[in-house]
Amino acid sequence: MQNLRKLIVGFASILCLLLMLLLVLYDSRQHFDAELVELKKKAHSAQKNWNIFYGQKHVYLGGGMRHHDDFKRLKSLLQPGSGMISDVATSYYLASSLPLYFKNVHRHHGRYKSPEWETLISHRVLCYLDAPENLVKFNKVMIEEELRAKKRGLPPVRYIAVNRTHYNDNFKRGCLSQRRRGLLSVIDQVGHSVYEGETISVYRLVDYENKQY
Amino acid sequence: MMPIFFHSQAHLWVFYALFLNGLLVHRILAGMSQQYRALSIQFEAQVILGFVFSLAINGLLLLALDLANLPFSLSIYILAGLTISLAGVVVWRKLYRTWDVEISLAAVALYAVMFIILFYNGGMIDQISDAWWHMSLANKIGWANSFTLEYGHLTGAVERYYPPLWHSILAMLRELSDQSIPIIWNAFTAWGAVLKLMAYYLMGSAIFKDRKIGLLSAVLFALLPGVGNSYLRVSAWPSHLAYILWFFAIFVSFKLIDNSRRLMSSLAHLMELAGNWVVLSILLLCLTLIYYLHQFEILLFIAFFFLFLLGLSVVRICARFDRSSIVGAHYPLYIALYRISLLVIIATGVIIAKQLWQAGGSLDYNLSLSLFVLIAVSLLIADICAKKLPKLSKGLLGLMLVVLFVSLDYRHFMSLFVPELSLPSGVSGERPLLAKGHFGGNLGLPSWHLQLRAGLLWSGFFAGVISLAMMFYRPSRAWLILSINSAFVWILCTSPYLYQWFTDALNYHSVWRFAILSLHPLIIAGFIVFLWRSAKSAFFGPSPKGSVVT
Repeated sequence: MQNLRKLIVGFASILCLLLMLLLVLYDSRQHFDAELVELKKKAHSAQKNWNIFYGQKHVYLGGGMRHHDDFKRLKSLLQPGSGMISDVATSYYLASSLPLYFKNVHRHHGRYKSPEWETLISHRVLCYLDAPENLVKFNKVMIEEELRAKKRGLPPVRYIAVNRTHYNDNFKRGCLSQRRRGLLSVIDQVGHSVYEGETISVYRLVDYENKQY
Repeated sequence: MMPIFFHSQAHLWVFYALFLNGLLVHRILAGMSQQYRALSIQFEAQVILGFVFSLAINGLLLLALDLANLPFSLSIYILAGLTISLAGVVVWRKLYRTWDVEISLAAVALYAVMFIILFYNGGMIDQISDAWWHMSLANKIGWANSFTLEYGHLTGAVERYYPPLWHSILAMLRELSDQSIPIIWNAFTAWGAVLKLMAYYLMGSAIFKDRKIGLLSAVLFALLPGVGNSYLRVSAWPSHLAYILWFFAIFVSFKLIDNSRRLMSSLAHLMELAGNWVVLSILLLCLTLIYYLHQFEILLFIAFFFLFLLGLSVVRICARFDRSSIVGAHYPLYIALYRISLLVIIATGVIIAKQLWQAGGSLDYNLSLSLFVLIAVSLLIADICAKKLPKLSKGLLGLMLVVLFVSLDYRHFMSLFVPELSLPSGVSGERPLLAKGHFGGNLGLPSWHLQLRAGLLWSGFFAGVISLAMMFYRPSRAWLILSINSAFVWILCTSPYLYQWFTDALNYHSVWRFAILSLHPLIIAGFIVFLWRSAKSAFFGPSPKGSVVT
């Protein structure tokens, strides 16, 4: 009887053990799934888990590291403490390297929304700046921002950066990637070039402080 | 084609600035204190202590430079001077001759494999995420040479405070190495991932007092997804550095508890614990560093041990289990600590309820403010009356269980398995789902997509069931801790009343992070080892060493 009980316990333990191993295999399959890497990339889903098919090429393509030579040169060209505008991805890359402030519309760490900048950057005003009404809107927001910055002691927006890269998925998701030429065709009307790098161009904006609208 | 080895400078700087000086301090302390030697005998403990001391040295140095208005770039001279001095002490006292260490080769193999995988996987900076917000803060801290820079790093407008320790160290590394912050972040990810595994191994070993379970739990931590688990590509986030220290602080706490003798009074226990001042100091250092890294993990630490005390109280009231196998040496102290904690919770709950009470507001919302206090008061009465009025205690405990079950949102629970049943979502991803109370009022619940579904389906779900079953079948301290922590996670994530209370009381949108307390890799590791030993014992009889089934 004792032996039978032992046998039952032994087999039940082995059965449960196998079930646990199956559970572990099932739940950990995402680390060994090559297709998942591509699917996640397509869906712009965060790849937080490690995956044996993931590699540094992805980090290089999306991590903004290719711009670092440009960033080093820009450090000495731009006025520290100024504000800059760009698309979300590029402004993040620049914010991690340069002593500048960015009108970034990505929601992070419970930051307050700034509707005027969302209109400008997210709602495609900047992407379609070649449309005359958008140029008017842009100038209006910039003049208002100049006043607001002065009143609140915020850094004044002095620069605009245009990314001309073709490889970065984060950048390609924004409309500026496709409509960059439209912006560049009218950029002379809002600023002048201060840097023309391999992939990044920076323009100093006109003096909105003295500009009447 | 990427080179096989890259960012070597960043890796060398990470080793120097985040380990070397700390390891030298560790060597000196190991030569001075028996208590410290006993704490740090495991290889993993030595590496993590090196990291802990380095974080502390760097933090103090940067704070001093900030206060003296000196540039961060000067830190290289001070750090180099410190390295020479510490190495001088090690050589002078001939501390290099002996190296007391216990290494598991299987564990080292795991670390090596995971380091290589994460070396090539890199940090999650290839997608736009909060990592860039952190790197922007680090950049501005370096630019301003200010350890205390807290606000307005991205837009210049005032933003909320963020603990600055990790960002300041990144800024210092950038100043010293001339490597960009994303490159340092990317390089550190592999180190951070291995540190997390080491810390989890130590924690698992300490909870179960069994290194095999600890090692298997580290393997499962790398494999099974969940809140923080297996997300090794985000190991350079401040929260994940804080996880390392949280796991390690639990390990240190259990070392402290298990090294003490059985004594009769709370005061004697306190004196005994205070005698372990070296270990206590390490614990305090870990908690201080967590405070300057991410803060929330201090709450996790407190919640973890409070739930353990609550479990002990339940065991005492139910008188269901053999207490001696569970409570260990500190029973009187546990009871005192538990009652004090409940008094603090009640006082805090009353203050919060007073502040947030909405006169004329929804009944459900006001109920959520009262429920927590009501539970705490009942638990306190139940604990005090456990000996003299056991029936009252049991009745109160049963009543609280019923109240908790009534407070759950079963549709939300079901939506974990059937996403179509999901409640309407809030304003943004991390905002709570819009749940309805029993009286029609609006309350919040966490969305399952916040790393929860991945963790709770299926290993997290089964782990919860297993831990409760094991608590009844093989009651032990480990299963008590794991089952009650896991049960808390499920109740918090499905009771809109409690979730709303935590969200408001902490003024924190990511209360769902408490779900890491489910510790499912450790539960499954403990269960697998138990099954393995049961099967072995059934077929081959007890092992000659007489090993006990956990």
